[in-house]
Formats: sequence, structure tokens, C-alpha cells
Amino acid sequence: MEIHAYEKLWLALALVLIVGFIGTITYGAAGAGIDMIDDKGGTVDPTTLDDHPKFGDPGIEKTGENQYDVYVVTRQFVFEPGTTQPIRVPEGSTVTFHVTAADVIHGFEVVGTNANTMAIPGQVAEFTVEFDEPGEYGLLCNEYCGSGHHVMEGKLVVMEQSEFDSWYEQQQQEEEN
Amino acid sequence: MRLTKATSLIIIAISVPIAIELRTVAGFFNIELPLIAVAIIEFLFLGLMFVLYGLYGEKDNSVSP
Amino acid sequence: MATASQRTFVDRFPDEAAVVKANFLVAFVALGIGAFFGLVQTLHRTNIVRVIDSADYYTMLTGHGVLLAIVFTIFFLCGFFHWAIARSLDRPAESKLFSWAWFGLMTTGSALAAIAILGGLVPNLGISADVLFTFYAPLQAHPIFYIGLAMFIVATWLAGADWFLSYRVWRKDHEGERIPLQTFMVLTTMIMWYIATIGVAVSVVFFLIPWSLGLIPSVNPLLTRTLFWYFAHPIVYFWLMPAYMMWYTILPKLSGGRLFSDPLARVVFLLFLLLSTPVGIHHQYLDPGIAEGFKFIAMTNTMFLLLPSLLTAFTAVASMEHGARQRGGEGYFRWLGALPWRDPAFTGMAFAGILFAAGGFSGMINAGMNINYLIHNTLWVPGHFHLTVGTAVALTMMAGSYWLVPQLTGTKLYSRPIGLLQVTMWFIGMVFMSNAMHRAGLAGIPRRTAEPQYQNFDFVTPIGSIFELRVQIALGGTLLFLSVVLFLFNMLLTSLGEESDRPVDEYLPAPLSGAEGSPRILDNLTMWTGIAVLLVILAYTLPVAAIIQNGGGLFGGGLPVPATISAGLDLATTALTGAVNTLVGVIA
Repeated sequence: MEIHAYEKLWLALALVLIVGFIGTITYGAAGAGIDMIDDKGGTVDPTTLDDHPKFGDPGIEKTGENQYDVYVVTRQFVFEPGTTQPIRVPEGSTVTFHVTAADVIHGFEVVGTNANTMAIPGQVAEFTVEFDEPGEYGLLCNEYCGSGHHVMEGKLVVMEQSEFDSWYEQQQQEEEN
Repeated sequence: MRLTKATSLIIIAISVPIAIELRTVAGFFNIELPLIAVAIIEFLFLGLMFVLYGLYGEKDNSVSP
Repeated sequence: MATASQRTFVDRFPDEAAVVKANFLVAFVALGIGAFFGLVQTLHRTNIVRVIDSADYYTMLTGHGVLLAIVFTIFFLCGFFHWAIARSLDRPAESKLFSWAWFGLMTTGSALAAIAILGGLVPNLGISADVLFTFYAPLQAHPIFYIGLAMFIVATWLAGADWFLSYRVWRKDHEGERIPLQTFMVLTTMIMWYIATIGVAVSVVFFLIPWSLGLIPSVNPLLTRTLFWYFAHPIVYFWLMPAYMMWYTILPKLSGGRLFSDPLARVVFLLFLLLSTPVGIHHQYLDPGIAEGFKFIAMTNTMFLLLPSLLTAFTAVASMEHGARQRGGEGYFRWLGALPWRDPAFTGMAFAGILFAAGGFSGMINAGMNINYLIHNTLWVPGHFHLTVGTAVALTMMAGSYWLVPQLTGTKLYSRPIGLLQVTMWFIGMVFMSNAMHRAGLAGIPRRTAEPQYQNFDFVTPIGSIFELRVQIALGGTLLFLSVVLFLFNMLLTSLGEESDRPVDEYLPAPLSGAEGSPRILDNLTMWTGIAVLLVILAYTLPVAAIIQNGGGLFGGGLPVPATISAGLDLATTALTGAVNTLVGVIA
């Protein structure tokens, strides 16, 4: 089979490009430590979410020094928490999100960042985000979920440590009462 | 190569996207190019093309028919 | 080869030409309606002109997606393939009746789905299918949407059978000959399609139709979603293959030369057959419930899928340069000026190729597993596929029509200048729209939403302003709609024109290097099909087993699985769980 010399060169360059791409992605996953959303979040029964120990009353939970878990339920057309109450996290913390859906497939996107996942009924998306500085982010659903899809939004607030601590304590007390 | 209506149309088509993305390129160097500047640059470019074609276009044609 | 006869296609194959024309007619009607919906959307979501309710936006978006990406493209493909088989095998279809039967079934299926979708605009009808092109369960459409879809898919299978039958009969008289190139392309594309549509057929027939009729209470949303993407990535290549076929077999002729290499064209189509399907999971990079290892496999397959496209880029450009030099073009770049830019069929395909290169680059970003986080489900994604299916495919099909339709009607093209204006408007409009969409996506603006802004926050873009991105999207979308109007107008007047003896130069010259020098194994379709199926089994068995096992069984929802199914399933899943864990362990 006759292949033109230029075409051979092109073929070689194309293969280099492809292998290069795979290399950068592998580096991103292994070297830079960008985890993929995968099956480590486990599963949950979407019909009994309200009785679930975590998703029954979703929100933030301290798990260690500067370590937090945030549980979020997405449903038509709200984030719980996120929409009526913002999701509050402290600065300089490492936060693991657990996101699931109560009815149809939703999206969970922190606008302008790469914190982005699908929320699928029955599945829990688990991913970890580091928040360095205080600030406010928008939160939106990026998967069409019904006629009110465009109103499904919320807020994520990264608070100063002291402010967060007093808010968190207050939350804990309210829950105990 | 003569400047036909078809050639001018193609030149316009290909230069428009380049002109638009000029702003992004300028943005990398922290230069804020307003939209009107891009429009002017594009018109100047087209004007220049047509003048050049007017001056040299026919000659080129006679060399390589 | 067509050298035997210089007569027009319609004179040589009147029955086939009628079938092709009917397919094109449905395709063009769908194109018109779909483009109109596109115009309404582009003006609505950029807040320029609002004539519909935001809730109705999604009905129109479903219509836009289904009518353009399914009905327009696939009807055009079927017409084009029918033409190509008759032309390249130089024989009529085996049964006129059968050809009309698949066409009829396909049209009925499309009509049912269209009724279900458009029903959403009539409030009291009780029929709707506002589920968008992806119809992810648990969003539910009216049963006739799914039934129409199933009929449509079955009809495409029958169409494929029609072409395979022609090939078998041809083979009897031509033992030992190489498969003609266009037929080879049709057959490999259809094999890929048979493998790919199994996914959507299973999803629709076993899950979505019974569920929408109330026969089963729930479905496993991740399973139907995975089956959808099993089908819906290869469908991308099903759209693209007719465009590639035109770039390989028609574009070189239009540029004044001939195809560079027949064997490499075959290699490219085989690579697509092998790699198109085991990549669907790259649409699910951000889905929970699928292990990272499976996503990694899909990513590497996807990257290798760049290879046939890069090879095609080479061939397309090389063939054009050869053509230009035949026409007297010289120099390193000056030959570009010698190309037949006044011919809308050529210029449209050349523009489509240029934008496809741009779309290819944004596709590489999408394929990058980790960088995809930034743009997943943002406006970047529609920006990307309006370059690929919306231009590489749609514009090539429209450009190809300027050359094909006169062969079917026996009339000359009504207006070349209008055609040229049309393809140029498409190019400029698409540059405006898709460029702005890509940039808006980087700013985090989501796709598939009716409203341009949110209450809690504003989008920011580093260069320029969000407002001007919106204006660019609206302007681009409007130009695209006007371009479609010009195209349809030109086609209508062409078909009404006076008959001509030689409406268009139909002759396709033989490639520079023919099939003779290439290994015969390239034509061994059975073997390639086997390898393709094997790759699919390797890529999908474990993820699907894991999804069924973890996601609450075949029917999901944490509801008990019927006893008969669960008995067999338990056996299969326990066997597979071990394998899954081992594999995940190895990869991690």
C-alpha cells in the first residue's frame, strides 16, 4: 500500500499529538491529583431520601481539622442547601461534597470554577474542593430538569474562619434544641 | 487572479472571524480593544485588499492564467 | 464507474432518484422547521426578542434538536447513501417496494415523535415530550415519542438491509473485485450504526416504552443514560460519515482533481467503525456511579479517534491542492486562489472543513477528562457541536445538495450566486455564534436554559462583556436562519426549473492511487465487524454490570426486581463483581 511521504509524516505527528494529549490528562489525574467523579460516593435509595441519616437533613458537617462534609440534595427546582440558604464553608478548608438527586437528573455547577458534577437519582457524587479565600460563588443546575430549570440556582459562600465558627456553633445549638 | 465578486465574498468571510478574535489576542496583552476598533481595522484591511488587487491583481493574472 | 454513461442519475435510475428525492424533501422540511425554532431560541435566551414563554423554550429546544440532529441529518444520509449505492454499484435497488417501505416507516416514526414534541405547545392536548434530544429518564415523554423513535430506528435498519442486499447481488456478478469506494463507505457506516443503535433500542423498547405506558414503575436513570450515550456518540459519526464521504469522493472532483488515496480512505472508515462506539462514556465524565478506570478507557479511545479525522484533514487539503494545481494554481499558498470559489458546492464544503478543524480543537478539550470539568454542560458544548454537526455536517450536506439535487431533478441549479451567498452567510453566522458560545461557556454560562441571567450572581468574562457575547450569539443565529431560508428557496426553485440534458457534471474521476495496491483484508467486513463488537464488549460489559448492580437493578429506584430477572441477574452480577473489583484495583 503506497502512502505518500508527507502523509507518513502527518500520521506520525498526529500520533505524537494524541499520545501527548493522553499524557497530559494522565498527568492531570495522577500528578496534579485531579480526581474524577466516580463511584466512590456509593448509592442511595432516592425514594427514602428523607429518612437518610445524612440526606434527610442535608448541610455541612465538620469531620476534622479544616475538614468538612457537605451533603446536598437537588430536586426540581432547588438545591438543599444552596437555594433558600446558601451553602456556607470556611476559608482555608477542604470540603468534600456529596450530591444526589431526589427526582430527575440535575447538575451542580459552582459558576466559574471546575467544581461541577451531575446529580443522578440513586447515585451519590462525591468530590473534594479546597477553598482558599473568602468570597461568594453562584450555584446553578446545568442539566435540563423540567420547565423551571432556569430558576434552579443558589449561592455558595466562603466565610472568614471566625464568622463561620460562630455560625456553625449556632447551627449546632439550634439542631440540639 | 482577478478580484471577482466571489473572491471578495470569500475574503470577507475569512477575515471576519480573524478580526473578531483580534480582541481576544489583544486581551492576552491586557489591551482592551473596543468593538468599533475591530470594525475599523476590518474595513481598513478590506480597503487595503481591494486597493492592492486594483494595483497588482491584473498583472498577477497575466503571469499565471 | 460512471464513465460508462454520461447520462444524468435521474435518467439512469428514475426509481432510486424518486426515493432519494423523497428523503431529501423530508430532510429539508425538518431543516426549515428546526432552523426556525433555532431562531426563536437564539433571540429568546439572549433576551433580544421574546415571543414565547420560558417554559415553552424547552419544547422548542427539543424540536430543534430532534428535527435537525435526527430527522434532517439521517433522512439526508439515507437519500445520499441510496444515491451512492446505486451510483457506485451501477445497479438499481433490488426492490422498489422495499425502499419505499423503509422510507414510509421512517417518516411515520418521525411524524409521531414530532407530534409528541409539538404537542407540548398546545396546553390542553395532554401530549408532550419536553425531554430534549437526550430524553434522560426520569424525565418522561408521551409514549408516542418513544414509539416513534423506535420505528425510526427500525426503519434505518431496513434501509441498511436494502443497501447490503444490493451489495450481495452485485458481489455475485463481480467476484474477486474490490468493493467500490462509496459502497465500502456506506457499508462500514451502516455496520457501525447497527452496533450503536442496539443501545438505544434496548433503552427504548425494554425500559422507556413500558415505563411510559405504566407497565413498569421505574427505570434505573444511570442505566438508560449510559445506554443513550452508548448510542449517541456513534451517532455523531453517523452524521459525520456522509460528510466525510462527500469530502473524500466529491470534493476532490469539485476542486478540479481527484482523490489522493483510495486505500487510506478505507482505513479511515474502518477506524471509525472500530472506535466510534466504545467511547460513549466520555459524555459521562461527571456522572457518579461509573468508576474512573472506565472513564479513562473511554478517554484514550476518544483520543485515538482523532486519528482518522486528522488523516481526513490531510487528504481533504491534499486533494484540494491537487485539484487547484490541475487548474493552474502555483506557489506555496497561491494555489488557494485557483480553487473554484464561485461554486457553492465547493466553497460550502471548504468552509465546513475549516470550521470542522476549529470544532475538532474544542472537541479535544471536551475529551480531556479533567479539563472537561470547566466546560461540562456549559454553552461551550453547543458551541462545539454547532461547529461539528451544525457546520461540518449540515453545511457539507447543503453544499453537496447544490451538486446532488440537479442530478435527481434533471434541472440546473437555480442560482449559484445565491448559493455562494448562502454558504458564506452560514460560515460567518456560525463563526459569530459558536465563538461567542465557547467564550460564554468559559464564563460558566450553562447550556439548555431559557434565561440569560440568574438572580444570585453575574457571569464574568475576562475579555469583552457578557452582553456583547449575547449579541454575537443572536446575530450569528439570525444569519444562520436566513441562510437556511436562502438554501430552501434555492432548492425549491431548482426543482421547479426546466429540465436540462446535462444539469451538472456528474462524473467522478478515479483516485490517484486506487484500491488495487491496498491489502485485501481491508475489504473483509466480517472480520472488522467482529473486532468492533469485541471492543464494545470490552469497553461496556463491566460498567453496565456495575451500573445495574449498584443502581438498584435493571429498573432502578431501589424497587424490587421481578424474581425471574433477578435470579439470572444475581448470577451474572456476582460473577462480574469480582472482575470489576479486580480491574478497578489494577487501574487504581
